[in-house]
Amino acid sequence: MGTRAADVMISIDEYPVAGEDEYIGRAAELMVEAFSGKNSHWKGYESLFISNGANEYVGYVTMRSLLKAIGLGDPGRGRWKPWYVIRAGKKNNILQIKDLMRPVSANWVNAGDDILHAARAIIENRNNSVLVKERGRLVGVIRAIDLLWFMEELL
Amino acid sequence: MPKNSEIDAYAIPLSEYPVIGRDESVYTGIKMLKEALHKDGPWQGKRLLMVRDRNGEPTGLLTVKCIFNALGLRLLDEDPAFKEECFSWHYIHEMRGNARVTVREIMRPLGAVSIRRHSSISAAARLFARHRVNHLPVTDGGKATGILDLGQLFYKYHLSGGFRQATGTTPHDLPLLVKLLGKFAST
Repeated sequence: MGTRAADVMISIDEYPVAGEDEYIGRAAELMVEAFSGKNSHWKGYESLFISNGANEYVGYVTMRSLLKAIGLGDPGRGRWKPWYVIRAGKKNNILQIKDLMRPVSANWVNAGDDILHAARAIIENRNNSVLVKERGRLVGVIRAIDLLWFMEELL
Repeated sequence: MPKNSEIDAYAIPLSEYPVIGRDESVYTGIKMLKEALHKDGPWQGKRLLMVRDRNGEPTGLLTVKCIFNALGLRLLDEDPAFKEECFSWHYIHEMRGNARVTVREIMRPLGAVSIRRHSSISAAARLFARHRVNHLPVTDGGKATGILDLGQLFYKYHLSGGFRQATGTTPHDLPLLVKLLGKFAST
């Protein structure tokens, strides 16, 4: 093959970043601001990275995890809920990004790895993307769709 | 919630999706998916193909994830542990060696995961999360009428202000919240 993860990844610098204490509504705003193009078309990176107080990447949220928050907000229209579920729901009404984010320490490949390795990571983790690291530092993301261009060779 | 709290308002009609026959090869499927992706501008096109049966009826979806599932099968084929312990390796090997893999073998059947057109946004959100899919067929009376796309749902739901209603306030609302709480305390 010879194509490395670094050759197809999208640089981490192209993704929006939010603090871990931001709220879900703000995360959705940031993603739409960053990824809806000038003509309101969706550019499609679909993730937002989360940094801590020391400006280190600690996690990321995806469109799916933000939509999941809606499901959590309404766990079944018209269904009976016990009082402790209702109380917990009210208490957690204001969800923060850190409640839903995935850690950057999981599901990653090295920048020098072959793209087949990246494809395998996406399949095994059942995600739409895999993180790319170089010397332990997060440098980019490979989406499943970026590998579509290589699928004829991989299959 | 606004009127468009039902997913029907967010679905894209089936007729807008490119079509592929179920007996076409996976390679044809990959080629068509690539073309579909860039049809309306770079990365702006559709991310799935509608699979039709021999009578022209919609029968499944061919997504990027389906292509990855095919690759997963290929990687399994090369796994020595799988070859050694699993009799089904013989059949997979035969399938790859003697016949081409068709779209029908890797597509997601329309009935596998779907949602009714009058379901709520939150029901759709739960299905997207539970099944880890990016597209949901929308059905009306058991028949697929459209596709709910995760990205489009996210974008339109955000524009309608849905995230603020469903997941609580944002920091921008805090001054109002403080004001309201102050009013409540003074009564």
